Amino acid sequence: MTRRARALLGTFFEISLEAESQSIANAAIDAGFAEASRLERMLSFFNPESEVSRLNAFGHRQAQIVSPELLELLRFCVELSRQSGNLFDVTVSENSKSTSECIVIEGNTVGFKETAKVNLGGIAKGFIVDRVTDTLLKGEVSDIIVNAGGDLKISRSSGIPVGIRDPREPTRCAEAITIASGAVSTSAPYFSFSKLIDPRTGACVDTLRSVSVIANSCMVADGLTKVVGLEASDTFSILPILKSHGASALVLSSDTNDEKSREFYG
Amino acid sequence: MSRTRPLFWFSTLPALALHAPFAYAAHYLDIDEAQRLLFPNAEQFTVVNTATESAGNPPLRIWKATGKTGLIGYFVVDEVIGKHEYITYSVALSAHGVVQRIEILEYRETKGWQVANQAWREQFKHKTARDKLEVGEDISNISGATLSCKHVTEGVRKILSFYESQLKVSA
Repeated sequence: MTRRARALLGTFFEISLEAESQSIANAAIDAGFAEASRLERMLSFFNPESEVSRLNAFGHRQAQIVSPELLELLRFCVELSRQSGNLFDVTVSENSKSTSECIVIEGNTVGFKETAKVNLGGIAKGFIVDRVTDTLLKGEVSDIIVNAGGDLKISRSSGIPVGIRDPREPTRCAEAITIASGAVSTSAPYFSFSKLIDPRTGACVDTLRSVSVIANSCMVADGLTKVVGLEASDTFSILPILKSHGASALVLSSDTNDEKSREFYG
Repeated sequence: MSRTRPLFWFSTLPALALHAPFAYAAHYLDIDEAQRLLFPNAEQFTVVNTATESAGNPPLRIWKATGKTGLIGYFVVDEVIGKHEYITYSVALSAHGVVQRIEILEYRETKGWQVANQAWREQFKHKTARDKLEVGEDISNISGATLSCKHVTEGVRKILSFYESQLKVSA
């Protein structure tokens, strides 16, 4: 097995795989990292030269032709927003009143109905993990694991345990899920302050929960962690959304007073 | 798991002792592997003496990479400490001090600050196949909140300023 890591997407981006020779493995891994940094440059909210920044600067004046990658990602964002009653929301605006409903997608163009911007920080990492895995699958390699600081995708012939960090003691694992093929994404505030904003209140979510979603696609898993994180007390609304994506969720609370310290949905 | 477990334990005792304070560790590349990967055309790597210079603590380890045409660039190894993690990484600089590539060599997490909470832990008993696994023993993949790589970014900045002040003149 060849395993390598780089500092990408603001985190540690790791690729491991099997190949017949070291040179095949190295070439595949380099192609994977190259794809990750290409997509990072395209989707970054903070890079003024990114495609997302161009859309944010001009999208409200005129619909912009966007790349197939950004189009696919924005289509899913709009779908998940609609499905979750705007709990998942990639738009940002000065008065925080915009919702994903202001995103207009027509053909290969995207525009905004009002002055708004999109920040894909809550989902781009999962999307990039999927795309990097697809890139690797084109090569003569097998048993692929792509892990972008906790958002991971596995494409293997046999199952492998994935540890879920314990929100009380993040340097230990609370449990392990065995996966041969699929994705896991975890959203939790233990390494930084919560950056999850509740679009209903505009305030940061003050929760000590760890939300992991298991799905086929890492983009889906990444996006759903935000929905489950906001609605973890409302099983009725979460279950149909998870089910429609073939996903399941594991919610761990780090609050000892919380009666529901471990919940599994799906 | 392994039939040769007693032997396995015996032979890995020093390694275990060395890694005892770390909850999770991943080794990606040895220094010589990274040198070959980052400078495939280099024929020789010569140690640059950084002991007397302001190379930080621990000091930067620097090699000159030379090939048929002379100096190709510099191979730098540095360590940074995050809030919970120790990272050893390498940087390939061109002869003109431009970053060509950064590779993580080793990643280790500390667990010294963990809070033991037996009551909370009890709740997991019998609920999972592998309750309360120690990270690093046989779990090599973890899903969790994202760790920032900003210490590596800061480290690279430090390396570039070292190049400007100490290496550029000798290049």
